[in-house]
Amino acid sequence: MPNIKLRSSDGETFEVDVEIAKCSVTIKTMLEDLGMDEEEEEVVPLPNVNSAILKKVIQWSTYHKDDPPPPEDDENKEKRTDDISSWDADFLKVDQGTLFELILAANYLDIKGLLDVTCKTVANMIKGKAPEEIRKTFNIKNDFTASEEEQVRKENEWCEEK
Amino acid sequence: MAESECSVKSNSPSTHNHVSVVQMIADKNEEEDETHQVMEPMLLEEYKYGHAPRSIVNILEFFNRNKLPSDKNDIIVGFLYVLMLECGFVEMNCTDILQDDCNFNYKRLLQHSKTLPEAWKRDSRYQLNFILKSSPQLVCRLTCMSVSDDLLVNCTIKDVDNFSFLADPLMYFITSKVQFNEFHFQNLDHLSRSFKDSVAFPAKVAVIESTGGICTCLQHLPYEILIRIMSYLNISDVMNLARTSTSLCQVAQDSALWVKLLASDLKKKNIVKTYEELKFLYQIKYARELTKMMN
Repeated sequence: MPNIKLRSSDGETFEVDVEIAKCSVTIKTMLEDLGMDEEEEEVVPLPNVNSAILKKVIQWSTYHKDDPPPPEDDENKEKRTDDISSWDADFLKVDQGTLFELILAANYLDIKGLLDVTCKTVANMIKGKAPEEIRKTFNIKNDFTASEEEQVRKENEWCEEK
Repeated sequence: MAESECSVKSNSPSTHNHVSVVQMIADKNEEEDETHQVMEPMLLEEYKYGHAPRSIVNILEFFNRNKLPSDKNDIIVGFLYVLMLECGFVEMNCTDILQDDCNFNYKRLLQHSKTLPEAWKRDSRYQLNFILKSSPQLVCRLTCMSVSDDLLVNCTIKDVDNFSFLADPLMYFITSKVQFNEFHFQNLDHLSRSFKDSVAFPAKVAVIESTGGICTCLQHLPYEILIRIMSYLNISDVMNLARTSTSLCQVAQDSALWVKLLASDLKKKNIVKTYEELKFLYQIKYARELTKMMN
């Protein structure tokens, strides 16, 4: 298998199998458009991804390289978040900063499987929590005025008891 | 008591008769290879027995050179220093001007983990001052002190915020031998995650937000990603999230989101309307479902 070099924002280089790198639609398109896969010593610069995150993305892609392509988003499909594989759950046992950076990297590199599973993980961190608990979990500053807060609460109280 | 007596200088000369396991690991890792192997550990959280990331080797070498540490808390504080570096902080008086961003930078991590800042330890108190290169006027003061068996960590950003963290050092050591070069560690992924979540990351967000910057936190994720996350939530979770802040409240009024919520929760397809109409529609449907359930 031919290899390709990826360079992170902080200038670190990783050598990976082309097939693994192509988990990223962004890289795949880049290679196809520029006809880069013939070149041996090509380095793909990824100025939006630092080396710590790029390494994680490569680890994820390596494990998932033989996965069937993820299904298209279907609005009518049930939105499950309890179907995260145990490998992914373990892989995503990271601090919040890293989790959000992984989301941004998956979005930029266009790796749908990784974007799905990271977003599901964040959704699971929100589920079942009261507003104050969500603020505490994510360090969100309450910037409502007292009256605004009361208004939002009132607007939304129709679905409160469940 | 005079401070100078107790303060530990970071620049004391290295001693040669102190070669240890640590040194040997270091030599092995010294082979300069331009390209990284994906399996090679970079972060503290990746530490495994016999596979220490370079930053940990650096810190332990520093202790080794200075014939330190006297106790486990010293090592934990050294690790917290590495974790702050991993989050993009640098020591307040750090002079490198080349890298002015506050993202993870591997070369900077390796460079700065070689020495702990001067006067990091006084008596049994530790104090480290950090800044983000993007806003050098805001100093994050990290103080650590021993409270019975635990290490109490406080991070204060003057006039901005304050975060704290309690670590149980014993959790992270395998041997209890006094000779530090025989220390082996465990659960460092836990130390990394809990310290970053309770101190380093919130401190970074606080600094960046107070200077009007945009950082990688939930409320500042791109709009379409927030919509994606919210579309995995059910209606009451979306509402609770909307009640946390004005920006998230704004996002939760996206009509495409409500189309998704209607479609997936109430099996209603192909409606494109305004947020108000959609919410009203949902409300009616919801009331109907409730009545149905009650009957």
